[in-house]
Amino acid sequence: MKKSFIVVAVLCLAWVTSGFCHPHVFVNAEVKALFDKEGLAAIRNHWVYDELYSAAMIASGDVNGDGVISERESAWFKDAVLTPIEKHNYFNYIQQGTVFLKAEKISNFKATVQNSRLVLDFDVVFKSAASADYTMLVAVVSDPSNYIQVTTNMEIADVEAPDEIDVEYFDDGLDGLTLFRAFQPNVKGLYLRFRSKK
Amino acid sequence: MLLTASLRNFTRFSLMVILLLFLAVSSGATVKKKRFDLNNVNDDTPARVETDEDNLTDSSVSVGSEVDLPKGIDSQKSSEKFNLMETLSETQKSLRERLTVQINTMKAGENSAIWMFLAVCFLYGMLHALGPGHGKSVVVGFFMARRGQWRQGVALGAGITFTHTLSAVLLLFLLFGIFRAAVYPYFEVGRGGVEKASFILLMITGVLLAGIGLVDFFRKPKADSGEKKLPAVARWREIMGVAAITGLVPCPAVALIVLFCLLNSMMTLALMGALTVCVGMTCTNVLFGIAAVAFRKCIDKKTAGSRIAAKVYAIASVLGGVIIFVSGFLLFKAPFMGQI
Repeated sequence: MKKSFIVVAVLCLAWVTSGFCHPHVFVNAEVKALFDKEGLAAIRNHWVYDELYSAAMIASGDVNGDGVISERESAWFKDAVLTPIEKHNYFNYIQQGTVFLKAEKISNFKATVQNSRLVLDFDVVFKSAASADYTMLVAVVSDPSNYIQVTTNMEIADVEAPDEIDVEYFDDGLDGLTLFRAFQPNVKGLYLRFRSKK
Repeated sequence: MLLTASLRNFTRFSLMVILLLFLAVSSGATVKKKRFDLNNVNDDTPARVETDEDNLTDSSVSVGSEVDLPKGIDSQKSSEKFNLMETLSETQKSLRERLTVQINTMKAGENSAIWMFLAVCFLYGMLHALGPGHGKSVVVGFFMARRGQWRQGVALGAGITFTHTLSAVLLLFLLFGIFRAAVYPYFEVGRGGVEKASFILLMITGVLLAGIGLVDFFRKPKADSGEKKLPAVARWREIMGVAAITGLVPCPAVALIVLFCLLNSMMTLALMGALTVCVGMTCTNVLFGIAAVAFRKCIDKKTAGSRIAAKVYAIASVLGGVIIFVSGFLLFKAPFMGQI
């Protein structure tokens, strides 16, 4: 009996070591890396929110309640959903060398309602110039605090590049990448390397 | 003759066009999904060898030298690993989906779905409280620092979740009365402020508990009579204070369920759902409360009357305070994670 108490107590202590938030909002995400002639240009995001959160936000943002998000209402969603996570790089983390690239801005933002769910499409603009040698990046779309659980399907992640750029990519876990050590263990990254053909 | 020559020319021309098209397509195919060696991402990056047969087609374009795999690092994808937190999160996600299905079913007129709705709420509450931020570490830390009775363990566990739920329901109803359907962004703003205050108070509580433990240790006489006495049992007002501080943060999960019901004009269901989630969370937290009291009783029993008793009590108090402080600090820090 005493032993079982100790075991339970140790279990309690084991929980103490975890410092992450638990998820309250769920997002299913798909990403696409976009390149232009200069190098990496943006990460295209497609986010689908869970129905509970969607209902709460649509009730606030769809002012006329017609179930269709107009351009003006779309701007509200951008402000309400993405502006608070601007400091968090819109949860788009791209490692180049030993640092994360800073997101420059959001472009092509569009909010829609599909099957009672809030869907956001937007590009997070980055700049990483291509050279004759390969440049390597690791792209991750995730909230490290896990308050918003972003589940990114990296297996179907895509890349779009002009003929002037060579790009290779694959998806895998983040084991051993120290910059990502604060992230949930099973978050996956998109490994990219690119170079200019000239 | 002329026809044959024309045909030959046409064939040559066609071949040339096909060849040119092939070259054009080949030069355009600049994007490839394939594995490559990772080198110099940063100092701790493990080098990987291209072992995925599906993607391994052309090794001639690899850059960087191939390096042996470090011990313990294999090329298997991490999706195959079991992770408890991820499993809990995924189950919660699935339960949330079921919740909306049940609410929509009831809205369509099938009232019998209420039992399934309440069952899902209960299970969701239990699992939700297993995640960090529901006061389990505070309960453990508190009963490490202070001796407690069984019913105090139950009371602290239940008090935290009750306050956590009640604050969410009250804040949401208050804001719903003002802003109606557009309430959620305001709720998030209010929650953020309360959250910071709560976590700071937790850190202060941790420091106080550790401090009290140390003061008690240095104040007590080292004579035999002092060593044999057990420290005082925690007072009820301390239990209520800690429960209030910890549970003060309104639970967004409860708020979202309540709001979803309210938006569907189901006020009674909103309250029943919130109560059931609260009961589920209470079950989890009470379990930890009882375990924490048991742990402390075990310490007291083992050391009572021994020469090291006073030292053990002091260490337990400091450790309990540290656990609460660290817990508050980690929770305070969490929203800042990943800022660039």
